[in-house]
Amino acid sequence: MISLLKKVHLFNQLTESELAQLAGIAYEESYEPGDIVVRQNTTGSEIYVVAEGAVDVFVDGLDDERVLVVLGTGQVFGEMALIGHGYRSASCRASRDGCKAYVILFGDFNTLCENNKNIGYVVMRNIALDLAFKLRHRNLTNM
Amino acid sequence: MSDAIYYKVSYVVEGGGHSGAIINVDEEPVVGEEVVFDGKVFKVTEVTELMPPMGDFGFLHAACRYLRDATAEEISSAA
Repeated sequence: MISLLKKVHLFNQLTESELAQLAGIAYEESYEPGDIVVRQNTTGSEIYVVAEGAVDVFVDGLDDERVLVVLGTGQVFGEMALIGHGYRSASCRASRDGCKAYVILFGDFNTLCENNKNIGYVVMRNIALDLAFKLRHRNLTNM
Repeated sequence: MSDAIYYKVSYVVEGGGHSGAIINVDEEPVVGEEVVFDGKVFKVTEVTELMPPMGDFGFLHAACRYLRDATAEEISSAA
């Protein structure tokens, strides 16, 4: 698992030891094509890392659902609820090839960050960068 | 383009017919190569830096054009 976590931008610039601590609180889940992993407007207590396959991120619109982006290997979702403690802003569905994800519970993550402030600083900085990247992607998609 | 080991790539499909994808890859995408996501094959038409690199990661934007639906072999090799 550590070899994959190294390829996840969220954990960029963490040490091997810190990655091992993260691997210790993560567990693996597999989803069949079409499975809803995260549902919009529900609460959640997990953050997900795509290990294999992809998820479609979509929002329920007035007329129909609208896919915002496909998130492939190494991408993170569910992080906005970690920051804002609010409802999920979008739904995520395993794509046509299914998806394997590493899941980390917010409570376990927060405890880890309390015990190692560097992990908390690095991950929160990377979440900010990831959100900026997603926003830039969205801006380009709408051009 | 950088000393990055991994690349976080924003694939944006020309024409707006597809919402695009964000995928981490080990090698920098290059113009002309084919990429598979969402069961479709796209051709990369432009690669630019989206944000400055940091640590092991480069942050790239790749414009691409839809070519065709992917075969099962293409999908499995992309996974």
